[in-house]
Amino acid sequence: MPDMDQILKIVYTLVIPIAVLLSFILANAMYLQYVERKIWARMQARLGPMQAGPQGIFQPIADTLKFLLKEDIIPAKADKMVFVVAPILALMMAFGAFVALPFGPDTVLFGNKVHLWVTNLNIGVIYILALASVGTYGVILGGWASNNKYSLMGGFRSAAQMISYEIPMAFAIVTVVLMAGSLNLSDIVNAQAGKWYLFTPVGPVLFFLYVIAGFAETNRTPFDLPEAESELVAGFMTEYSGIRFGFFFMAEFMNMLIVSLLVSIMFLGGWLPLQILPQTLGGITSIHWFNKVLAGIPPTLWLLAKMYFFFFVFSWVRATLPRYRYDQLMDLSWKFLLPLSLATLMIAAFLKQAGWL
Amino acid sequence: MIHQIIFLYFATVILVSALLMITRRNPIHSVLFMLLLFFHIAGLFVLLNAEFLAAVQLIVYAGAILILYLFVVMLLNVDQERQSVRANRFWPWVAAFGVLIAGEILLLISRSTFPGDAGKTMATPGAGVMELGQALYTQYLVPFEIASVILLVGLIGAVMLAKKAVKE
Amino acid sequence: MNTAISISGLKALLPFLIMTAAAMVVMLGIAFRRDHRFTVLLTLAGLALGGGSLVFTPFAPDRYVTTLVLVDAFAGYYLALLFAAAFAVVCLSYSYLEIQGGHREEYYLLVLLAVLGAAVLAAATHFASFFLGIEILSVSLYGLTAYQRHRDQSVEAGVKYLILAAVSSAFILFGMALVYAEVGSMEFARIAIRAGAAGGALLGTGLVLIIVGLGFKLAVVPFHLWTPDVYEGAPAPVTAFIATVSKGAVFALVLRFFGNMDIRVGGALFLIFTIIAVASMFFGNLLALMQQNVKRVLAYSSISHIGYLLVTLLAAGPLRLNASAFYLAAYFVTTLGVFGVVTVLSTRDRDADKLDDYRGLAWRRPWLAGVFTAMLLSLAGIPLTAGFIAKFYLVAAGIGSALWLLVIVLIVNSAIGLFYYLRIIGAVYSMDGPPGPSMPISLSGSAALGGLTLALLWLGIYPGPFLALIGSLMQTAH
Repeated sequence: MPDMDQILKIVYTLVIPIAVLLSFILANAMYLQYVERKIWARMQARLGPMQAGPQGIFQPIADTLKFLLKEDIIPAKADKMVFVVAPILALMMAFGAFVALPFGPDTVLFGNKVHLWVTNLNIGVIYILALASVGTYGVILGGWASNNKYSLMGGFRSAAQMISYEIPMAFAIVTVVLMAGSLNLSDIVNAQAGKWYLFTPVGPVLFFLYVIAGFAETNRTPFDLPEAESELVAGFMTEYSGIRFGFFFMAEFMNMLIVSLLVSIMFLGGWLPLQILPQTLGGITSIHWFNKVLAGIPPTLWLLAKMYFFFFVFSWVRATLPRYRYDQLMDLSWKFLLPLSLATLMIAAFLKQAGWL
Repeated sequence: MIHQIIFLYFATVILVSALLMITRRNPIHSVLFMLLLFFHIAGLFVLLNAEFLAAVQLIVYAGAILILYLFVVMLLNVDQERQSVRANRFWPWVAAFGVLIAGEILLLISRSTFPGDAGKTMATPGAGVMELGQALYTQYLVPFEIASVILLVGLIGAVMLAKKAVKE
Repeated sequence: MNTAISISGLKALLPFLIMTAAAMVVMLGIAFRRDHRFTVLLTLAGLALGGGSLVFTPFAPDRYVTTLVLVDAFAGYYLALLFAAAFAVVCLSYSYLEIQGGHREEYYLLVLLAVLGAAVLAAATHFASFFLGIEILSVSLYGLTAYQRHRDQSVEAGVKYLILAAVSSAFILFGMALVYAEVGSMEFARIAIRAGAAGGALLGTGLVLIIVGLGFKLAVVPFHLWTPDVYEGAPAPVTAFIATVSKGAVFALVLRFFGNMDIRVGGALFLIFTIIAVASMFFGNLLALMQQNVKRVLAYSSISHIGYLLVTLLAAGPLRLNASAFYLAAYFVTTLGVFGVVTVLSTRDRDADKLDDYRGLAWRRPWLAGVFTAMLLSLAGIPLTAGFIAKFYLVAAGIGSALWLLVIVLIVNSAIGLFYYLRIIGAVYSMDGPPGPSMPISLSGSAALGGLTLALLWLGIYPGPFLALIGSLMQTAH
């Protein structure tokens, strides 16, 4: 029998971190939806949700209740097993990826050393890529199981799109791995001390590649063809209602957060503080002083700030840009992003070997 | 102890989902069970501390190959497949043959000795990625490059066979 | 041991690098200029360069490149043979495809890559290179077999080949896994040591599974069922390619893999190979008697020829490598010649595979009929042809190791074989053939056939120098 210490160990290393992470994700998924609607509203000179509570602040709670209480309809001709499994699969994959994300360096909290991650995989990057590639299943299976032509087409579109953009995305990530020399996300952050990868010679290109691919992977505007309402009703989600729809919805939000976090971790130095004109140019005391203040902000807050900033970019883009046409979408990936990513990888390898990275 | 229980869990699920995969009438369900199978095989790799292999297993098999199967199967007419005859009168013979071979292999494995490092767990979790990369790019560079030729051949062959006929 | 590839290792890999580069160049060439003649010239140049590079390749008995590839004289000889055969096949293909419509250029790309796979097989000394070589070869052949997409037969042959080759690859892989489980190494040399000493049951089972897989690729009885259909359905030059390059490379691998092992008389492996050889000879020849389709006859004939070849594997002594090297050379020349004739006689609509296509050929096309006759006589093993010398060597190797059963079966089968070859020859010289208005044979086709005929006569009448060459090459290899 496992003794008390072992049980406590499991609670400390597994149960509590997962619970914390889960509540973090849930809260974010709920409230970011509200924030996003407010952002769109501002950009389109509207007010957004205003009814529930002051400024509509309780809107997410109302929405959640609606998801939970609404009748859960499974279409009569649907494939029940797959219909039920698909949203769960999508949600599990998204949550699985979160587990491997670090939220900060080891910190001391209440006198104990605390890891700000659930698991610190040595192959974190590959693991997240693996789950991202499996995440396609939820969408394609959901689309098929609904037994609805719009759903099926949406599912196919989404799968084709995700597979296509996975490749340039993977190449961008591999290039970052090459620069950092590690597959471990914490190591990648630490390798950026003093030089965020966004500000290295190939960094902007990689950043561009990853962000574009990230938008496509999460099926967000301008790549939201799988759920293009003018063509496909709601794509693969057409037949879903109630909590199952909520699952898909959550999975999508989580994927967006994952992409935002990964962008921050891989290109913006993760939890490393922003430093204006770092030491090399030093001498100006006021900047030096300002930098010290910036460095004083807790690392996790830096990471979250960066993440929320990217979340804002996601919403901003959605409120601004029109949708791509499908063939243009495919062309963009295969004829432009893929060659570009390959070239970048080669150049980065060369620069690394020459010692210029 | 815990290790063994986890192993047993993975092994059982692998066997059951493999069986379900070949017995389901609906090809989509088969693909789903295959996905389950791949996940649990990846789990076995994790148990052996070969996390990299586990992730690659998911990326390559689940993320690429199986998705392609799914595409093909979904574009076929599933209902037709469901109604088609799957086993003819020879199936008991075939099944008996399969059982015989499986028993033979079990017997063989139970009576054999294995050399030093077969089936051993890797020293530390997640270790070996670097060693793997170095082996691939030094000792196994030739097959590594040749393997890329296989992909090229497959690509050319598929494009060639699927291409539209030219008008004359 | 330093496992990285050195400059001299790269030099030893030169033929492989050239073949890969040639494939790339041809691919880009097609992308920039889709022109049949241009593509063929590029392909031929690549093959010639690959063959030419063999002169500069530093062959040595211990020239291992990272334990996976051994570039010794044995490999060098087979590489030369494979490149030459592919050269002939490409020449024949040009005349064959020129009269066909559609996209023809990718064909050569697949041929080049298949040759690369075959070359890897010939030099493989490790399971990894073994399997990769076999896969490249097979995957290219799927495409090549089904190249005539508008013909049902061709597509059917492609699908059959695909399924059976995939199954046989699965056998090989599983066999490899079992062997590795027991030996703990994937290098041929170490497996051979273990197999010689005290091979356990896993090793034995693994080897048997590998034999099954290789048997499919070599098309020996009882793994031969795909052969006639694929031979019949595939375009004639592709059939020639399967019969020569593919089988030759796999046989080189068999020699390398099992040749190192101690196949004792009375041992299990000896028994298995003897049964396969005897069955292949008898089944091949007897079933060939019943065929009406020339391509099917040749398919069964090739089954029996591999059966003959297996004698060299079982024979002991230094002669056997020479015997198999010479036999394969003669078999290559002859088979390419026969299929060459089939190729140049094929029309846009179908391949010339009916016996009727050859009736009275001698009066319509005396030269072609002469070449065809010479090739068939060589297959049958009539004196003054390469086939005779080759068979003589086989018998000598067999007698040298006192393999009386195999030698007797071989001789009996040669007599049976004579019958169906003579039947085709009889048709060629029969007086009741249709008066054929015939189109001219293309230059490349006649050049290839002329070269093959010269090679046939040279090997048959004056084999001394070639035998001496083989002797000196094979001496350094084991």
